Amino acid sequence: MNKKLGFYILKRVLLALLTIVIVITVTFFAMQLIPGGPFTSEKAVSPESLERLQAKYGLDKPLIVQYFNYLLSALRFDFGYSIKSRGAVTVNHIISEGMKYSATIGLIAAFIAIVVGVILGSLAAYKHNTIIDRIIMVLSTASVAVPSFIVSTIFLYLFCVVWQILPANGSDWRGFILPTITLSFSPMAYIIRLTRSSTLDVLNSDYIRTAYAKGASFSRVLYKHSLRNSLTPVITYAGPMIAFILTGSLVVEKIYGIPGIGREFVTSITNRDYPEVMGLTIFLTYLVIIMVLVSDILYTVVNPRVDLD
Amino acid sequence: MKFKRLPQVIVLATVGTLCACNGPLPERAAHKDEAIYSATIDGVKKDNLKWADAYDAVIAKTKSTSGAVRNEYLHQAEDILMSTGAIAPIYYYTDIFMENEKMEGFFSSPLGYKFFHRATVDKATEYTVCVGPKGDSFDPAINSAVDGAIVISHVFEGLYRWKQPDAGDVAADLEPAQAASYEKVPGNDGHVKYTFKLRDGIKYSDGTALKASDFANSWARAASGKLAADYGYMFDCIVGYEDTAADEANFKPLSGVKADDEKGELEVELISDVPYFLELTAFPTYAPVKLDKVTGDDWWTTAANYIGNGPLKVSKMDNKDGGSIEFVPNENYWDNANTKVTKLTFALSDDDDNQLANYKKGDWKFIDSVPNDQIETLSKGKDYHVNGQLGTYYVIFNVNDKTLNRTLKGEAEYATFRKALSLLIDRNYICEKIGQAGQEPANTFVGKGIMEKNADGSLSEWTTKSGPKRDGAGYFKVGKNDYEANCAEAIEMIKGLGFKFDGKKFTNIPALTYLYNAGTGHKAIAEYLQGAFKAYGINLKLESQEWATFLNTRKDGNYSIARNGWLADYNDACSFLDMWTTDSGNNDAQFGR
Repeated sequence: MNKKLGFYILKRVLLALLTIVIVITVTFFAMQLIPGGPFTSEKAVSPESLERLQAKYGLDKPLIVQYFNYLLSALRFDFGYSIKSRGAVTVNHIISEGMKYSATIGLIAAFIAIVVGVILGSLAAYKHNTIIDRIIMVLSTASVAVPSFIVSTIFLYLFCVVWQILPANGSDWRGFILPTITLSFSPMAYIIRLTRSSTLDVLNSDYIRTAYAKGASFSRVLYKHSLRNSLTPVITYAGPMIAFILTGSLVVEKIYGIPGIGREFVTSITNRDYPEVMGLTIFLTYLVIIMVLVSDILYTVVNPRVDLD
Repeated sequence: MKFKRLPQVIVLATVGTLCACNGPLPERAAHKDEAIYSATIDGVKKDNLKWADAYDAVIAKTKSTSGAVRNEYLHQAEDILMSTGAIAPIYYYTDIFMENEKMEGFFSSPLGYKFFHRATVDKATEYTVCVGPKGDSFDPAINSAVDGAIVISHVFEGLYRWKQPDAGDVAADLEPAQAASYEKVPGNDGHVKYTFKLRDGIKYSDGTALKASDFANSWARAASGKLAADYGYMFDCIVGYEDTAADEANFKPLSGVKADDEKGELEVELISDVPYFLELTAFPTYAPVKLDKVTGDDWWTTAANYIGNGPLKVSKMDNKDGGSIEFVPNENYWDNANTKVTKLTFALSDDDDNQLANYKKGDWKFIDSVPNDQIETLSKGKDYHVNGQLGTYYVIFNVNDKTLNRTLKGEAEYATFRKALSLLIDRNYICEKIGQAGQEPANTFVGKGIMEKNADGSLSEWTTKSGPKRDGAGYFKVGKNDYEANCAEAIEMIKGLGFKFDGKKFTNIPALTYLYNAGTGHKAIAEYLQGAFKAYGINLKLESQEWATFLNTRKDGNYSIARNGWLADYNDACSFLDMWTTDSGNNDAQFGR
């Protein structure tokens, strides 16, 4: 068993490395294809200055040389300096500082989304075709349909300006309440639907009917039999979802004034800040790979019929 | 089997027939070779000049003359520029901000840099304001953003500084700051020499003495090719700039700058009597950086190492959007008697709605940007302020564009067509219904608020002397009642070029494309232009691009018509006119290329 597990982990690690190398390569060359560069600005830099700046940041070397230099340092987790700050800030620093906020908000939002989502989804399944089911489904569809910037702006206006009960920036913990709730809506809605449909499947199966026939109580059926099975699709979804939610959302962070990492994903591209774009993409890739691995392992724990391989 | 080739044959035949029907396109030389400019150099008028011979020559004269003679060359440059029709100004920029009604003592410079160190809010000396998002750099030599400049303007002080105005909140004059006085004497070849006498006992915030050589060394660093700073060119009026800018290995001292630390004097030799030099000494790039603190590119990122000589010093540096920067008074500053604030916090935010929410909640006492859709409601309040900004929003035409090659022959006809299109724009409508920020319609390229010095030493506004007759009439009429007449004139102009007019619309003008960068305000103006031109049968296709892509496309001249905007770096017309010389990196219209 251990040998098998060992081989499995080795295989996953090698696949992960391959994924990262592919991501680095595609991102690197895609960024080079986009017009403009890190020094493109409204007030043009003189050609001499441009040459000097490009030499300073290693952008004058042949593309292949730049690519390999970058590949080697990225695999060592050294993502270089942000060009926009003219070398004052390292990309690692931007990521670590931003993640403090984005990860906190993201984890809480993910927790809310999973817990509330599973509860409401199960409830909707058990009360299938009743008014409770309909209300839950309408609310979950609506929360996905309304864009997050509208929800955020309305919340900001109501809670911070009109009722004045929460601060409009990330200065203390109360400023985190609205962003976590707003961020949880979209994944929560999806989890509700997932849970509801998989629970419905499970409830109609033979072994549940057998359990009831043998006199099991509702809560025993729920915890011992149905929940574990209906949760498997949720686990599969939750892994990558957590990776993406941890890295924040541009809209939510901008509107609520949270100094997270979400906005960096967009601004770094606008700024053509190559090291930062690469660093952020690779970081997200690492996160997704880890979370997918975690959810795969959890999947086999919850459902022992499934083999790791 | 021979029928396999049939589809290809059909295609080729169709294409060939179409080509033959349209006729081969006429051979046309690029119209940069067909010059129509006139220029008067040293009293001699010359016609039929190429762009480089006319415009570049006039701009070169502005660098070697001064006073009224220089002003006239600058106005002539604007005449030549506007005669091409390639610049269609729309409005002059404004600066909107919300200032708590109980704030007193706030003022700003003509460039929009805001000063809070003398301000209190309802007598309170501790408060929070927001002037923009996180700064890319607070190194005075490297910074090129307004919000960075505002931080630097509180932490550093130059030889001269903007004087708090007696009335209103925009400073108009400069006063001695780190220098107590200066003398100016003429030199050889039109050079001038400024000798600044530094104030006694001036210090950095860490208690160390500030010397004349600190200025000389800071300027050399900022101007050097080694640093390749965006604003390095601000030193190009100083003798020795070319050598310093060419040196990529060292911070070569500017040969025109001599520092005497014992006497406390700084001597600066300029290549000409540049009228805005004192203003440059107040500009953030000219700030005296304490070079032994510059230990690496990140020297400015910690409060302990970010040492300056201005009214405030940084006590907490949390430079990110959603973070804040805290300032406290610099106890070693010479003018502390005038500093009122005891703890100033700059909250950093890049979102208009977020700024407004914090302002309305009362947490922030000042915000520098307002969501566009809120302007109408907010403008009714007493805390809503609009100041002029030295800049112009305009439409730019690529002079090398070949879309109308089949009908228009020669640069003169192209110029007429562009000017006609410009007349079809209702600038008052754009200012009132789209901009809605108190902008004024523009009929010059040089912005409103730019000043020129008269022979008697007094100052006049450039726009009061603008236009071919120097009477302030500008280059076309922009009164509210002039639009109809402008349209009628435009129609006659276009008809005269040979396009067919059916009484209401033109029927054979090829479609043109208007390029703009993504943003709601720009889109609204683009859509207005499309509608305004369509009414006369001129089809304008709209294309939007992401910011950096857009900048690239425009600079490379891969467009027909595009939107553009320019903000002055200092209060002199050359800040608007230097950019159009043939070699300039900002010559988006591709003049002379």
